[in-house]
Amino acid sequence: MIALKLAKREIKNNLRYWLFFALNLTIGLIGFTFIFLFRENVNNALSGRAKTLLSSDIAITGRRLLNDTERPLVQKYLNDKIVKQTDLTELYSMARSGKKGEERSRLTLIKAISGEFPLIGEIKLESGAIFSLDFISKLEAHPRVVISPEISHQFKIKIGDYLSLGAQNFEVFGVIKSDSTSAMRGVSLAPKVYIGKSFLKSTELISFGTISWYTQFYNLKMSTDIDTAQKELQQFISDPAIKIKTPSNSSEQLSRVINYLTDYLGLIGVVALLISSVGGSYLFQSYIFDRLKQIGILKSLGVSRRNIILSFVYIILFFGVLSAGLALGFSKVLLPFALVYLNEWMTGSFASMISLEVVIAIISIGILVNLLICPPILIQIFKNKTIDLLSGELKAKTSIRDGIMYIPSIVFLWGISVWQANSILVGSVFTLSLLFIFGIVLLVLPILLRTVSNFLIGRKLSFPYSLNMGFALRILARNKLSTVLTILCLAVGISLVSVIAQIDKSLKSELTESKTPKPSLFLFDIQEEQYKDLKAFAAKENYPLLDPTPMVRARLIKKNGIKIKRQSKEEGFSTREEDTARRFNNRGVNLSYSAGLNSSEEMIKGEPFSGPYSGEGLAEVSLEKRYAQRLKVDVGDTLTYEILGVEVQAKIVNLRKIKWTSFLPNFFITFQPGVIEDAPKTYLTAVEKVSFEKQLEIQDKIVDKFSNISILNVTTVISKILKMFKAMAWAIGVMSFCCICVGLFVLYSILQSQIHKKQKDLALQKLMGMNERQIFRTLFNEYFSMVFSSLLIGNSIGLIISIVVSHLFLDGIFILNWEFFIIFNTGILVMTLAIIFLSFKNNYKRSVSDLFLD
Amino acid sequence: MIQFNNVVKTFEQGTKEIHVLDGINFDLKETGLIAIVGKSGSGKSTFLSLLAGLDKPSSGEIKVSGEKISDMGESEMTRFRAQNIGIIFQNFHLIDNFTAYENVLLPLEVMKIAEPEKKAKEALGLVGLEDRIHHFPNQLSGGEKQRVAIARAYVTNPKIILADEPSGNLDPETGESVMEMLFKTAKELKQTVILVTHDMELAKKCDHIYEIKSHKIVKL
Repeated sequence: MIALKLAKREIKNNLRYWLFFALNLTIGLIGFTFIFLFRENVNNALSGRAKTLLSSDIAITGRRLLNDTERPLVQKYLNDKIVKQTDLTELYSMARSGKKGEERSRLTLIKAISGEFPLIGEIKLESGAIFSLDFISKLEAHPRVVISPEISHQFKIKIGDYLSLGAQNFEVFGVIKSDSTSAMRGVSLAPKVYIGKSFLKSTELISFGTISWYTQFYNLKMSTDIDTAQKELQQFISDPAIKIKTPSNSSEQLSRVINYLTDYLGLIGVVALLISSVGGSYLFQSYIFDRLKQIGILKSLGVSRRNIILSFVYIILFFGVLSAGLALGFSKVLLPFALVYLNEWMTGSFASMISLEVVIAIISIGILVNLLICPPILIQIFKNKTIDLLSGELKAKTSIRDGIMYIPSIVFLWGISVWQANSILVGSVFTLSLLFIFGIVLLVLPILLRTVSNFLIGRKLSFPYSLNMGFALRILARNKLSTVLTILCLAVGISLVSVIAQIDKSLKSELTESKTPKPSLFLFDIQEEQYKDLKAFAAKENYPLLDPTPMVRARLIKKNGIKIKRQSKEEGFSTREEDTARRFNNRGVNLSYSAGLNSSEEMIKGEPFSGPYSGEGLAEVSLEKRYAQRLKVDVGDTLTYEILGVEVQAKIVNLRKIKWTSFLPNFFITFQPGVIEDAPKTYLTAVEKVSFEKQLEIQDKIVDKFSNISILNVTTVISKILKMFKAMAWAIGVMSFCCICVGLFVLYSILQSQIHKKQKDLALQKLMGMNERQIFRTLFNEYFSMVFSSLLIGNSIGLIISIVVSHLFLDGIFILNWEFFIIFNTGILVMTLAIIFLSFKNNYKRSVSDLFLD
Repeated sequence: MIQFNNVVKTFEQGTKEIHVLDGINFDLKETGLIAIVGKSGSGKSTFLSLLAGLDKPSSGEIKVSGEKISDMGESEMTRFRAQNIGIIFQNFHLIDNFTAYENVLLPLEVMKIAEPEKKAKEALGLVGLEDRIHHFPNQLSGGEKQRVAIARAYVTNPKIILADEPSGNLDPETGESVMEMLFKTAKELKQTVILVTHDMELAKKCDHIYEIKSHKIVKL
């Protein structure tokens, strides 16, 4: 009871400080809470729309139709459960405008439907018509096509005009207004068109090797358990490349895109939380140090140590809850803005709700953070004798045991990082990186400051440069704790923004201004029999066509002789690595063969192919290094692929690094010549860099001559990638900027807690004869040096991380972003100095007695 | 040398106005060691603050060496004080992040006095701290801190040194040795020390004693 009374009195007497303390944590929690709420709401919205996104209760989908063994088993199992069923065939192909004189071609995603589609959800046309059994029968009865608004815009066609798909001419029957089966906006490779399935054959687009997807949709009786049905069906279909999708899978697939981004944003939120925790710890320590006498008095009056500690625990619990509440409130206000931004990329509406789960999680985090940072300081204080507390001096020395008290904080940091990253690996690497950065700064900077301080001892105050500089440097070097913490808190945020800016520039430069020109067009679905004709046609028309590369569809069935089984997702938490491995093992693969490396490849391990396959022993295969890592194989391991029922076992002889940004036809898996040449295959190729007008001309002519060949406009793809990256970089940049704001707030907090002490120094400076201008210059030099050091350290860490990231993920492409350096650093410098000026403007002009009185 | 003409100083305490000094007239022509005594709350420290130019009188004028400090602006007063007045506080008021040497060096360098390093070392030597010059305040005892403050106060050779209960925070033995040090150096440097104290025994060691009583100042 006494503890509660003490807590109440403490809050009442120092309300301003405690509100400041709470605000510090609030700011640190906002980014984290916001990302949590954002992810929660998007995932909830997507899972709420899961059935309409899948468009049925369950779907079986793959790059092939079910075979004669699988089909009867599936049909038998589902027979008494099916309420409705339909199917869909999807493929990418070129569409041509039917208008004479204005003929043009573009890549489209063709969706051939029949019966009733979608089984769940709605596709609405601009005319007001809705996809229904009757409407689709009209598509099946005549060669009619329903187009997306992008197609209408690109071809400048409207209802009644004609659009050619392969060998078939289609009349435009409608323009889509809304499509509940689509979640993303403007990020697909090509806009979609719907045709009746009965006309798919007449397009002549489907032939062997065509990249197409076949899906069977089923609506099942209410009594059917979808998850059980999925598991049962997986037993009938052993091929992991055939997927049995349920609504939760389809929403998870979409959520994955958002979650990849929000996971990393969440990690930045963790950084913000960490910075504010450091600031909170400093604030609490300063506060407690100012109250040593009061604590001593309480102890000497007979209040137990337990009660004093408990009174502070009550306070930090209360303000932990308050901070969490404020963070939730702020995030709730900000959330709708982010959801509006999300609507540029995703269809549908997103509610901005706060679930009880989020409230509990954020409050728990708020309380835990305070409980982790404050009690170790209190325990440290209580190691001192009451007499020392009464004299306001701490005499107890710090020991290793004091450091041990912070281990729970590190465990908490690791736990929250793993939770946010959804990956033990990423979370652990992230935690270690943060601890490394903090460790280096906390170890190196104090040593550096001590060296500077010692170097200055015995020298004139006007050394170096001037009295103001000498004064500032001494204060900076000798106020080690606040200097180090301020630099650390600012540098971490600065480094994050710096990384984003550097990678943004490197990626943009690589994609748009690379020294090696990228191809303009990427051609796929080239049939074997078209190979020679296409080459001849390109030669005749003088098109810079690269040598076509073969592509063979296969399935990985064994790794080092051990059969790979279909992996299903278990209930509950699974890490990103587990999800990736599962997806990776379950998918089909594309193979190629080649005698050597192309210009975008580099062998990094092993030996080149020994030559064409002799027919004896194991065949040789080369793998892309990251593919090999994911598959957990290395040079010397064996892989067995199945190509149309034929097993091909091969030994990995080398690993390659591929420069994917070259946009040349490259494969994860390349066989030596003489192994898979006889397998049915298609070809890929590219047209070297030409002008945009020439691209369109080549595209139109190839489509005219080879209607089934699909052409991807590399320039368009690059601009889409850049647009997506820009959006992601923007989101990450905003979050990183939040970190800087947290760092600035911590700086402000530290300044506020220092003002009292600073006032005494300012008064003494005045007493010693320093005028306002000199005092201002001293303050300016002190804080300019501090901010400059933060920028120097932050940018250096940012640069190192950017170079490491570019080597790990961007094939070493790194281009220094000078513009960022100048603009951003100047901005931060001005902002920080403004905060410092605001903190001190009322102080350095005050009279000596006022300064002393405070 | 010091003139207080009808100086009034009032403070507001809530709605109440408290007259600490009520029309003080004081003309100090003597030099040497001057003690100002009085009971707690009599206004001794207020008197010293006004004299140091740390505070302004509510009315009346204060002159030091013929200069009317009561009308001076903040920057003018800062300059005047640096040149003419050294101050020693009860609780030392050293810059914590400066060594003893740097604390003493500061006024010398601010006033651009020649050979500051030599003078600072000499001043610290005079107060017996030659072997502690590179120690920080938290590495010094209370007596040592006050000696640094004394060295800092007289190092620029001001005409007047104001000392506000300089031994108040020290044990009697240390306090006595610090005061002896202060008086000795002041005599050596021919400086006037105005010492505010409630300790009559200490005051008796001074050349002249004044008492603040009933808001007025009288010579004893």
